[in-house]
Amino acid sequence: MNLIHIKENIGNGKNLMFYKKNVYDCFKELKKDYLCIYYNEPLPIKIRLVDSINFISGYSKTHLNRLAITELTKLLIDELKSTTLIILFNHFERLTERSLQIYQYLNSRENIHFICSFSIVKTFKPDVYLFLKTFKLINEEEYKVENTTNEINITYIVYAIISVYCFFIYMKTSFSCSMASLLIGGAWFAFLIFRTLMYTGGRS
Amino acid sequence: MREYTHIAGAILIFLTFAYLINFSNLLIGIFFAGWISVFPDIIDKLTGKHRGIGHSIFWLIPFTIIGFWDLPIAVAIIIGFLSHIFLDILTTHGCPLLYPLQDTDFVCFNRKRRIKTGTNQEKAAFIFILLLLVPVLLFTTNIGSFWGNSEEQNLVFAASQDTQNSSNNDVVKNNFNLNFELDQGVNKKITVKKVSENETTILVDDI
Repeated sequence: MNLIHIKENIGNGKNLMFYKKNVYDCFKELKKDYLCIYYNEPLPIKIRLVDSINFISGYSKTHLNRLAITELTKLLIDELKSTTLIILFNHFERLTERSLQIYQYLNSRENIHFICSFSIVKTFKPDVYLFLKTFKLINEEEYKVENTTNEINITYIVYAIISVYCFFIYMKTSFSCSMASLLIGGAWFAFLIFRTLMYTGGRS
Repeated sequence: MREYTHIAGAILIFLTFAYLINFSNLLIGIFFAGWISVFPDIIDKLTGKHRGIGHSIFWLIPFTIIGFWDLPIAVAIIIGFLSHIFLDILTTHGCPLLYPLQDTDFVCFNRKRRIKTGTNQEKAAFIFILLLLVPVLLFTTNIGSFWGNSEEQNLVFAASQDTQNSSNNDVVKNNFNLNFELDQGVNKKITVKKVSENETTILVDDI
């Protein structure tokens, strides 16, 4: 997606998400046209809010550090007034429950938009998914190639084949009881020895 | 999976199959099954794409054609190949059975439970196969008979069928009907005695 499409989506009030991309590249382009703030990662939330207000209004960090997170959030919104702000950060998957509340609150404002990126899908917390739904994934194809697998699970067919095979072996073996008992007993005995060694000796 | 697991798996499956169908050429079969079990990986190394054309089920067509020339070798080759496919299906990435036509991987189990190549999971699978292989190998190849009780002897009686030679009226004995009821998996020492002549001993390896 090129810059025109990104601007179009921002103009339509959408948040944008990239998979395995550094949003700093977007930041470099967008800062010419919008008020943009970039962080490499969204945490810690207080420091991010302090930096943002400091950048927008020029308040000293010493003063801002004394304020609580809720006060900082309110101050940021007040300072923005109706100016459009784009917050860009990588590592969306690192969001915590607490920071998520703040970002969701900021997201509820019409003039604040987010452009983020994530790299690890497995570490998403359940709450993060709700916030994630407000984003449009830009490089969806790339994400699908890496994260969705084209496979057919034939577990039950394999189970059935093994079972039928074992049935025939048993039928054949059972014609000689001594052979059957030797094989099963021998295998069972070997497993007992192995299990005992594993239990007593461990793996390392 | 690694080569050693494939070879052990192929030999185990071949031996059990040979036992099922009373396959006689065990050594040749073991050799071909063991060798062909690494064939898919060799082909894929040559083509440069792992789990590609070498793991396709369509290899069964040329292997079946070998059967018109030599059936036992073809059986061993097919079993060796299928054992490789079967073991690879148990791994994380599965096996693209219909490769040139379809790129879909055929897999088994939940993703977390699949065997990852080269890990302790695979080593455990190898040990499992080995533990099954040793007793099967001992008894299907008759090596186990060394532990058999050689003192035990089964008695057998031969009943003669006397036939009349019409030309010179001499009585000759031929066509002995021998009925055996012996333990399987042991060498059978059968002694045939002819009255007041030399004693003949026949050693029957297996029936």
